[in-house]
Amino acid sequence: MSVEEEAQLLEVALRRFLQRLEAEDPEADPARREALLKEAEAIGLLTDPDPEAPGFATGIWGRWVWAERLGLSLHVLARLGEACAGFALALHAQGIACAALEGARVFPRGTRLALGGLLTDGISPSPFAGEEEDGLRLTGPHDHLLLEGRSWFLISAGPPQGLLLFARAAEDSSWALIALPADLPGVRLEPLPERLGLRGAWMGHLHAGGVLIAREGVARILARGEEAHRRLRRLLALDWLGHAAIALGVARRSLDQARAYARTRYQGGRRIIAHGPVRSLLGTAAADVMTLELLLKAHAEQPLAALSEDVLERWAAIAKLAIAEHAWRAVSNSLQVMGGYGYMEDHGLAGRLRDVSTLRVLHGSPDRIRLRYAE
Amino acid sequence: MHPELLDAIQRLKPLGRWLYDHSTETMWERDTRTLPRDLQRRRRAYRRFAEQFIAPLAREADRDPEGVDLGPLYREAGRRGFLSEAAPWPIGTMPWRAISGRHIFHFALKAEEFCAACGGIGLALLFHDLGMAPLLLCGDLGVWRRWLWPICRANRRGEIRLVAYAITEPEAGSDVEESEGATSARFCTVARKVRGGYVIQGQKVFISGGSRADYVVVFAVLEREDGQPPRVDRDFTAFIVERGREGFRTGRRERKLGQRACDATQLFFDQVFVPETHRIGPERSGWALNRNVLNYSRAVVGAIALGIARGAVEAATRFARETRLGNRPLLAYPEVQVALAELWALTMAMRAMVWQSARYRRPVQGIAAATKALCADLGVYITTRALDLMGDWGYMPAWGVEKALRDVRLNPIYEGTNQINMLALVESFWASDLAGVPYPQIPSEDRSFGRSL
Repeated sequence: MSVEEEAQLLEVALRRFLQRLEAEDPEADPARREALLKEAEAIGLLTDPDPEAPGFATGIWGRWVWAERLGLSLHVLARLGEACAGFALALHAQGIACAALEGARVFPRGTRLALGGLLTDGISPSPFAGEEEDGLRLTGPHDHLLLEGRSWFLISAGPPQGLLLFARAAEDSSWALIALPADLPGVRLEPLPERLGLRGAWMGHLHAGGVLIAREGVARILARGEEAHRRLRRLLALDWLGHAAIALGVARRSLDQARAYARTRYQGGRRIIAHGPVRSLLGTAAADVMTLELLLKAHAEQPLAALSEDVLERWAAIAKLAIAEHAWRAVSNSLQVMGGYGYMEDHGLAGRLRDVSTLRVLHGSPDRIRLRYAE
Repeated sequence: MHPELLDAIQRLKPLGRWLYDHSTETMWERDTRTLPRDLQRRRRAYRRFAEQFIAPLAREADRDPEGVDLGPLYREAGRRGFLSEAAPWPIGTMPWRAISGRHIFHFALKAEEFCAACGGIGLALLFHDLGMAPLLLCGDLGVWRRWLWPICRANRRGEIRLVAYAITEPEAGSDVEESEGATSARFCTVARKVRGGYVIQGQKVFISGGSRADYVVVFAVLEREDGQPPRVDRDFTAFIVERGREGFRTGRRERKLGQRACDATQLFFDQVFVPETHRIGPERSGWALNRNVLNYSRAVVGAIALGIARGAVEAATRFARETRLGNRPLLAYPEVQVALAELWALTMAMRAMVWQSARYRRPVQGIAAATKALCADLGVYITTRALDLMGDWGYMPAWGVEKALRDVRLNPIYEGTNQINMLALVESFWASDLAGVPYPQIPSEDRSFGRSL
């Protein structure tokens, strides 16, 4: 079966899955979220670290994306974002972590993974930086390395069982990518259940104190130096592209909902969609959605392997900034069209505003991203 | 201040030194000093109360609005005179000097200070002022004696009596806040005249304080004697209904995005009888009364946005001082300084507009509407930029900025959406600055389209 045929089959499965995702609220009940994750795993949407598992190729940021085209994952994330942005982020997080492995067999089938250490170079400021060197550090001789420090805002499909962490070597500040089980002595995960939005994913901080990284042990180094840095840049770019795709889904659904409301609601004897100020809000939102769509299409037809880190990173940075510029405005305008109903949590728009507000700063504040890409 | 600059100031002539402002007082204190004495005292009192009683409850009241008992807060606010400012001393607590034209200023100062500590608790204290406004603005001495004064007296004693204001209906929100919409609004709350009073039938939604208020000022269209269908613009009439009156009940408390400490509740009126003494103002005068209440309250809603935005800017500034990046505080970076400076400047601009709007002896529709709409939009802009500056930490509840964003997002919606307020501004200008230009009419086919359904 060709990739295109498989993609069509996946699209059919995705449609059925979205109906279920719409009907059940995975943010409200962890048991339902787990059941939905199992189903996503079965149909190959949830990426798996095991190369024999279905999700290894077809899952988000799976092998297909490397060999065929990036648009496959962007499309799925946008569709998932329409239904539930938090759940979309959960699948995205698993995909990013699997992408860090680049096919290496490290974790068994079905392991829930989280990727840490991406927030580097001041992409997101830390209230603790300066007290001690921020981030994760590797110390000690080659065959007996110790991992120490903290990593912020890890995301996973559930409480993570495996971790992929970027750390700097204390001696020369070179990068290393480390894989380790989450229950290793010295690893502590601090969940962050209370936050503005995207509550369908697991989020937490990682604290590492004297974690032993041995050459042949359960915790090991997957890449070092330039290779690790290359992977870091690539994964950060994929992370931002994923956020932008989810935000597109959130904005698209918000606009659809606001249009439907404006077609049926009356004010002053006319449907509100006939009122100039409302049309202006909807028109601006529609233009914002289309702008983000076009932006995400820029390199969507190319395989990930064909894009250089520079091109990928620039594209991802602009897409990430477009969340704040376009997706957020589209959602806010849609909420405004629905007035009081939009502000109530039961009608969906309020949650979408929370989600898109979180996405605009998740893993990188717009201000820091602008500064970083000034040149 | 730079030491060289201080030396240079000292070298000026005495009068030159006096003319040079090199005070190290906070901007808040300097702004306060520009106000008349009574307002200075009030501003400081509001701030003390907000810091002492509102701020400590803010996070928990947002997280679990029904689990936090605001009763002691209301009693303290009542004893301090913050729930009886609709009437002057000795009945209420509004200074006599303010009656001549500064009373909106008091409410605006209160709104900013309370909402800088918490938008939700701020609203939970402020909805009462909105409910009291029609009792005051109807200009009816009988209403003042029967309702306004006893409520003020009780609140001063700490025996709290709260009043909510009920306009919005499931099918009519903005309609009743805009002239064109009012002629064909689908208004379902209807009053029928009966012997000795009126019978009210209908439903209201999203009523701030609806589940807590002891009284509700409810607007209904009064049935016409000529058999014509009643209209908002011709037949609107206000009534006060006490909690416990037969047929009056509260429904669902909405789950709101923000300002969660203040409930937004459904109210049901099922054949509620009220005596004539419960009518606020003359029959069919409600349209004017509602408009005037909105003219009075919209500057205060602008001040609510100002307060919430100020709270977010203060939190972002604290974050920038305490957070380090590359071994320097964030605040040491010029780009962070410029970004924060923009937010401070916009907050000052909002305050200037609110204060200017509050200076009018009687509020001007267009200016009140412009203040409400512009401050609401700026409030949303400022809080989202504060969130941006904090990166990932912005969406965590500890700093309060995500809450401020959720809170202030209500401001472009309530008291008429911002779009309705802009139309109110134009309408106001049509009678003055645009006098002589024919008022645009909605095409008749559009009107008939809505009516035929």
